[in-house]
Amino acid sequence: MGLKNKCAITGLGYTVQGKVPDRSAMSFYIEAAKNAIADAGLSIRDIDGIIIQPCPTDSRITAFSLAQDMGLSLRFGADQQLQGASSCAIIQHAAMAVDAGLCDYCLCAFADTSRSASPTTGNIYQRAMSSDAAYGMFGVAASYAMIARRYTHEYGITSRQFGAVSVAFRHHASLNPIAQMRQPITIDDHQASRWVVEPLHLFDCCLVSDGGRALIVTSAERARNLAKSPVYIMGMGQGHPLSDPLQRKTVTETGAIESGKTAFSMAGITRKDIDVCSIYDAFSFAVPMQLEDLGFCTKGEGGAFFEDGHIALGGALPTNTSGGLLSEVYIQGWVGTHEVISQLRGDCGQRQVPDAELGLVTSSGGVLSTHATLILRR
Amino acid sequence: MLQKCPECGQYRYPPGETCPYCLSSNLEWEIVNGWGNVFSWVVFHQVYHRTFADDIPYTVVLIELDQGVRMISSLIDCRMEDIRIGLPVEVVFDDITNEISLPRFRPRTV
Repeated sequence: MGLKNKCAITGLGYTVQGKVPDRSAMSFYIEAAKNAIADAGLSIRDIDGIIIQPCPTDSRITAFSLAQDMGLSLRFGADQQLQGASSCAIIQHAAMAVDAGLCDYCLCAFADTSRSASPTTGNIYQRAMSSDAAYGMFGVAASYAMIARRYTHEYGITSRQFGAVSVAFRHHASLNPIAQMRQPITIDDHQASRWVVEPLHLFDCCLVSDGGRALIVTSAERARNLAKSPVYIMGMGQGHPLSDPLQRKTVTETGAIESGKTAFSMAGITRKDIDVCSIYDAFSFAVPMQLEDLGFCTKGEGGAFFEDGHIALGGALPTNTSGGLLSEVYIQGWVGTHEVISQLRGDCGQRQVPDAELGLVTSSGGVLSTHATLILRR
Repeated sequence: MLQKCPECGQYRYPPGETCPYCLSSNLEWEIVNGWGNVFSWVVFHQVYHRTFADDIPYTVVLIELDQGVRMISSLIDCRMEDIRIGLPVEVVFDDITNEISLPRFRPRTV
């Protein structure tokens, strides 16, 4: 059904990441693109399509300015802004474009310099979002904190259970040589970490980083003849609830419900078949919430799911094995896509999930406002 | 005052040009009782803007008005330990300048 197994992801591009001052966003896009092309064993001129997620710190960059700087004429190009949900959504659009014959090798890329770009004014994630600033309401974390409070109220989930998410992902990061935060933490460390916006502790919040990521989508057939083993796109879906989270009828459900349903239906597999997951973890509590919405556990049981170790390496559903946005790096949804693809390729070294065959990735933007899911197989 | 759609009867907040339920652009203003309850709340512990530096830690509340819409505001005459989800509140207008008043809320006793 749909685009099942028709397209594949090849070529993963990374850059230096973390705190990387004095680098332009464009230089990260290009470094990531160059590395993705090399990883796939392609030449630069093979790229005939580009979709970028716009850079939060440099709005001048478009698919076409990137093409210009890479000396490429394109057959297909687009900028797609679904904020944090862009990665999985862009891969979906790239697959559609490839399947439709609009391009053969679609480069998908993103870069951010939020860690270093505006040190004097505070980073972009801390600014006033609306006139609600008159009440002292600033930044992204506060809106998530409003939802986290409702989540604890409606389902009895606790801050210690949020902490179990952060502890598990930090453990994963300790096994990842490129992770920003590799020092293991305990639940007590989580509880003792300073409040950012209560009920969210520092260790409930993702990092802010510099860096870029890229990958290449092509047809399943072309992918089989390239340097790296292909990772096939089995299922895809999106779900976008009301954009203003605080006006949604319920604030404790996400677009993962719709997004996951569509993706699983296209892939024709069940939740039990998934070997490895990356769930968009801008804030710890959003991980159990999405796992509930995706149907991995019932609503309200996500917290216990983590405490029981299900999602740790060695558990039934190893999740965010790179450390995720909480502990590896914050390059939005591209952290999850790259990690699951690497797992399915068997490239994860110490943190490899044995024999991982099927993976799921989610990406989520705004304040749980946009959502996209991918189901991948090796 | 809240915006209300005379065609489908729904309230909307924040104010806008069209009704998100029926897309009517014929919105009217209605005086409402200013009653609601605390839907959620957070405590700011970090300084995001220097104006609020001396207020740290301060609370920001999400109020669900009786008309069903929700708005960000602040709670006055209430100790932090007494705030809870579902707390009944009423509006109080805080005159910041001669021209600007901010709607804040306080616990309702009736």
